[in-house]
Amino acid sequence: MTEKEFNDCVNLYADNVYRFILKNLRHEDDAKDVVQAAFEKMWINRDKVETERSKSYLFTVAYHQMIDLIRKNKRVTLEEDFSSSTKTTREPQHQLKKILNEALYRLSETQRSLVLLKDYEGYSYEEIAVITSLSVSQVKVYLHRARIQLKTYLVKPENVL
Amino acid sequence: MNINRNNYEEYFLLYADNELTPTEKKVVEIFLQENVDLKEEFLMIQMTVNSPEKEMKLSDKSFLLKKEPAFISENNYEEIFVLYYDNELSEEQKKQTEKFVTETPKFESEFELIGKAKLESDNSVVYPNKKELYRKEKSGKVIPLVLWRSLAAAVFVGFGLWITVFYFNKNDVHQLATSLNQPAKPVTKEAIKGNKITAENPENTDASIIASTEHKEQENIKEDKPEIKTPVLPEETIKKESIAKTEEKIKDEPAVEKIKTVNPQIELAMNEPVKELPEPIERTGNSLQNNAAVNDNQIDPDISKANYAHTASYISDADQNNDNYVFYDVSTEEFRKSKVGGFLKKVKRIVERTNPIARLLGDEEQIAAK
Repeated sequence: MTEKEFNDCVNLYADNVYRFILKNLRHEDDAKDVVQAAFEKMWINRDKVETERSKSYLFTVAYHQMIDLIRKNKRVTLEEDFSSSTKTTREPQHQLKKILNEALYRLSETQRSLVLLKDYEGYSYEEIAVITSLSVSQVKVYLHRARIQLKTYLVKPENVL
Repeated sequence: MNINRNNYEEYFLLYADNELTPTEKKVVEIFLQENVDLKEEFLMIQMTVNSPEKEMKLSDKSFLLKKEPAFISENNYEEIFVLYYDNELSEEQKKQTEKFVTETPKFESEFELIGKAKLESDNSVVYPNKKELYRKEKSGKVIPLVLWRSLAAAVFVGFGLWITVFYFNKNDVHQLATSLNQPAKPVTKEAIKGNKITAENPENTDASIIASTEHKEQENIKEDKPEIKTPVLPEETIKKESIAKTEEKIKDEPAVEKIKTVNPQIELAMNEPVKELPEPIERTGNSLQNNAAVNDNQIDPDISKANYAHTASYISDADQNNDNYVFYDVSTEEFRKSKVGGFLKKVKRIVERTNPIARLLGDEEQIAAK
């Protein structure tokens, strides 16, 4: 991977990785640190990383960096970050989206990551399995459970649209 | 794909995850049309699908952008110049270096200065005496040594074979000569002193030993050759001889005196029956011929007839009817062939005789005698 290809990857995928990490961490600075660390690692290994697989490589590195950060700090609490996240990243939106976001943050980190990778980036089960180092069946089961949880949250009487 | 009211949820989820093919999606849609009551649940699952928030993005990505460091710059030009003159750069790197020097004239003098700092070897300095450094591998000499050793071994073995063949050929010649009635030479004093076997000297040590060893074979010999019989001696001579022999044996007198005391009549009596037999005579003569050195100067005419005598032995425990002496029709050569020790002694003697120098000297003496 040349310098130009690397910088192209920055322009193409930095927002996607940042969005994915910020939706999980709900902390902008931490999200930026994770994204920067992911791109730094790809720069170090640019001779080994193929350009076609650079996006997947970035998501993989960023996901594991994020998991490490979550386990280390344990500072992400649903109530705090949910409020801050909504304040900093969202404008007034549709009620459904608000409720869905609430439901999303009630999922575990893994489930949330799976849902985001599927919904935001459109990765297949196999690709998600590679990024998250899970098996395809695990991805499928975790993702379906997450969907059921989200649906259950949506159909709650207080959340009924 | 078999969707029904029991498994529809899985297909609804797969539909939401976009994991179904277009055909499968159509099947799900048909199922929904047939089961309208499940449409609401299908929509709820579809509502769980998140859409990316486009507004959520990095405002400034410059901190992520990277720039390859230049191969040569004002920070590392000195090192590159040294590598250039050490010929450690690729062609492309050399071109970049030269381009850098051309574009930045202030480094040109330093580039040339580093180039001048390179030393050239002075070929005029040579080692004064290379010959003292020359060495030869020792392995070159090992091969001839092995060759010479093998050659020496081959010569030694060949010499041994020649000696053996010569010995047997000589034996045959002797036997032939003896068979042609070459009379055996009588026993002399020297021969007796040298413990040689004679027919008239039964007390001789070698003769006694040989006779004792052959005593066991006596019966077989007699059976094999019934013609050969122990000669019967007259009573008077037997008595005289037996008395004389026993006295000599007790006194242990020298062998020369024993010979002198031997009665010629006894010897004749002993030899007479043997003369009648041609074959034993030949063998006896042969054995005598092979026995010992013969001295012609001290030949006793009576004793010279003993070349037809058989090998004799003295038996101390026999009776007085002259049975103390047992005569064998076995040649000395046969004795020696049967004994390894005797054979070795004979080989030793043959080697001594066939000594080239001694043989040459002997031939000269024979020629001179002729």
